[in-house]
Amino acid sequence: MNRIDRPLLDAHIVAERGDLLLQVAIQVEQGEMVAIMGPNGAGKTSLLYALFGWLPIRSGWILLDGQTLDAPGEERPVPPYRRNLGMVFDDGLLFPHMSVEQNLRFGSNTKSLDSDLADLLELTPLLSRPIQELSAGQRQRVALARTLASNPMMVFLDEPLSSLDPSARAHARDLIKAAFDSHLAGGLLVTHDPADAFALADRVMVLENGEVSQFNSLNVLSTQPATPWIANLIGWNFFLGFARNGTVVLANGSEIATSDSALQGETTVAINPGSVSLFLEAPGGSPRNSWYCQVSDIQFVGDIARVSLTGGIKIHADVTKSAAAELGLRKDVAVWASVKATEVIVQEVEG
Amino acid sequence: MNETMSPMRKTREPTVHRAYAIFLLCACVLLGSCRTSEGVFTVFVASSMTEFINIMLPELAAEFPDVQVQVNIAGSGTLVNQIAEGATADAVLLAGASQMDRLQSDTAFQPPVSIARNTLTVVVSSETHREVNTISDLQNSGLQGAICVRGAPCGALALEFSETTNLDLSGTTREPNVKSVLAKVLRGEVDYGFVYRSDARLAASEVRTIDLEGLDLLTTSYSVALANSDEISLSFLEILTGRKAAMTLEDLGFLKP
Amino acid sequence: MRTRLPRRVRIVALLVIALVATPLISLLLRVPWARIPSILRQEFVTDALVLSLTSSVLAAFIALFLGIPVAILLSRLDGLFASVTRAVMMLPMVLPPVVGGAALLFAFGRRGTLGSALEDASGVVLPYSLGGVVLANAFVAMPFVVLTIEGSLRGLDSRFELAAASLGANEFRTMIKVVLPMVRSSVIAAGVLAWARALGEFGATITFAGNIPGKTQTLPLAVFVAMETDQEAALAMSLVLILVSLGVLLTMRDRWWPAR
Repeated sequence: MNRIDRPLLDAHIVAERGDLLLQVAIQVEQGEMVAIMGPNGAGKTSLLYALFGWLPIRSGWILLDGQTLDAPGEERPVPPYRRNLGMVFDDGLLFPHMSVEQNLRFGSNTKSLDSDLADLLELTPLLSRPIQELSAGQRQRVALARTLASNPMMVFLDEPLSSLDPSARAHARDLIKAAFDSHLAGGLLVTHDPADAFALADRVMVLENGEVSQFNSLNVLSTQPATPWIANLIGWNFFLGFARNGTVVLANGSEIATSDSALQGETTVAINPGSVSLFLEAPGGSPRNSWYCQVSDIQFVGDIARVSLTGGIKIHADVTKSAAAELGLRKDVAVWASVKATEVIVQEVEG
Repeated sequence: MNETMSPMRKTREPTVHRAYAIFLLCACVLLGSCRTSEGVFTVFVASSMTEFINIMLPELAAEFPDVQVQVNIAGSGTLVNQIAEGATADAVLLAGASQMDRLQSDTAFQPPVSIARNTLTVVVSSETHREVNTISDLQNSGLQGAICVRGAPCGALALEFSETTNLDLSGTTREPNVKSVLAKVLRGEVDYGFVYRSDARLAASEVRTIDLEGLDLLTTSYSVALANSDEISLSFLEILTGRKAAMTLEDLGFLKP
Repeated sequence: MRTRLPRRVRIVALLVIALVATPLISLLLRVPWARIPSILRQEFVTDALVLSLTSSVLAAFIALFLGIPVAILLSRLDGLFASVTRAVMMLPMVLPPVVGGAALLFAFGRRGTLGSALEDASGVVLPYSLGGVVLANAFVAMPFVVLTIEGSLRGLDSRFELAAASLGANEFRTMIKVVLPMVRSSVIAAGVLAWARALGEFGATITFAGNIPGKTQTLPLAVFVAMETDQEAALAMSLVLILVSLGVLLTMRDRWWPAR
């Protein structure tokens, strides 16, 4: 078999957990990070457990780099500890009776510690500390390093950033990205935060009620959301730009004003489409973020109309169906799009 | 909770009240059951006298149908301890002169009346593989023996015998009373035991009795002491010293006083 | 800070403490202090003390060693089988120790189900030996081990096992390096409870292992025997038991009930 053609992970799973029936087909390419998103109770963590062998699968198959991990009816499942999969939990789940170094060495085959890894995740000064003395961010870094030190082929990250405060998240994201690039062949990232998916993942799989409702690039998800839930959560607008004194300049020259006047340098910007207001005439007063745009597309998802705009800025706006009707929105209609500076969420890109 | 409880709060605590009520009820029952009741005649009996007292008690019951007779059976040392610590007995039937002496010195019982004597014998378990007939056979290190604790007359006699004959009994298990020694022999848990002749006779069909020279010269005496001289106590004494009692004792293997 | 203790609770608690303390204090009042040195120098007393300490410590370790696998098994099981097994494992705690001793005799006694086979095969006779004392003590102490450790194993987040598996640790390594160390405080508590139960054990010991001075006569047995011959000696030995137990419970207090 040609190595390039073979996906890193190829799984087709039917499993049960409580009332939930999980039916998922997933393929992860070599070197790819897939984000898994979905409402609470949709089966995101259950999917990871099933891939791990922690939750027995009823039928289907799990292949990792061509090796069968589980295929009910054909072979005995490979036990979890021999699957060559790593897992980072939302709360780190460090072993509380060990020091940082002991945690890091738990899974590695070698006696010595991978000092490059410790350096990469900024853990070298913490090695002799007991776990109880670490901050949430430090714990999460130790958890990631512990998993990477055991040399898994692929790693599952279960909301690895949810316990961190927003200021620590961006930094942690960069560390994950760096570690992923240098150590791993692929990964799955369960997250609630579209920004995580935007920063780390190549594709996003959305699970709802145990089934895949959409599996595609973030761009497709935001322009063509398959379900209202996706429209609500994944449909955020993301921009990459350069901030000067609180105003972010995008590559096409558009400017987005933020509420942080001290903001400088390379920045990601996230705007909830629900925060984008549409007007037929230029809005009164002086909202700094107003752009003259044309409607390029309208998708109706439930009661929401997702309006894609081009022109002054490429942005999506979510309005109610009735509002869309009142404004007479259809393709090529010209509208003013406006966003309050306080609704603009920014994150500086590190180094 | 504090002193300024609102009426609402008070009405919401029936469980607490119920718990108090149950506790008080238990306390009353407990206290009531501890009081010494009228119309009960309590006899403390050494365990080697179990069969004898079971035969004789109906006589007392026939004379005093309204009186409930309670029997407390234990090793003599235990019985004397119980009385010394405040247990009430109307009559005491003990084995061994020393325990009776302790009773007399510690409490206000009347002078004892001797009713029988007993002597020790050795019983051998039918399940023992080895041949056991003589003192030197008992010394065989592979054998496990049982005797009474030193505090019980049966134990004191066995140890006295061991001193006079240089028979080493240090590896024997010390049972609280003679019935327990016999039971261990009967179950085959030990190879031999020093028990009273009367007990050996009771179990004659299931164990083998061997006669060791000089063992029958050591005897212990049984005596009765009364706490007071009311009608029923005197009748009890009369029954135990009567002709039927003497015959019963002889049948059971006891010696004359 | 906590809410103030209700006065009723405080009064009842103090009364109960006084009620428990009274018999112990009364015992202390009767102790023949002047005679203690000579009593404790008697051979049967020192023998009993050494035997009690040896057998109770051995029994506690054996109960731990054997009880931990059972606790692990039970913590993983639910349903009727688990309930029945748990009830059976708890029986020695509820039964009168004499019944436990008798049951041990029927199993390991010279005429017992396993005991006779054991004697035929190896010549080992458990009753009336130190092994018998330890077995009887471990038998009654085991439920405390199972109960204590199973409880905290059930409280443990099972994802720690998944975390260990994700790091390549097999089930046994996970158990030894992760699970048991994480319930370390209750393992220690279980050991202390088992030891305390074994030290005070009387009924099962006298029934199964007999009462041979210097061999199977533990301190509680010696106290029982001395109550009928030399009450002052019994009191002196009781004092020793109280002091040893109190000393250990006080030293272990922080490990037993982890400080808040």
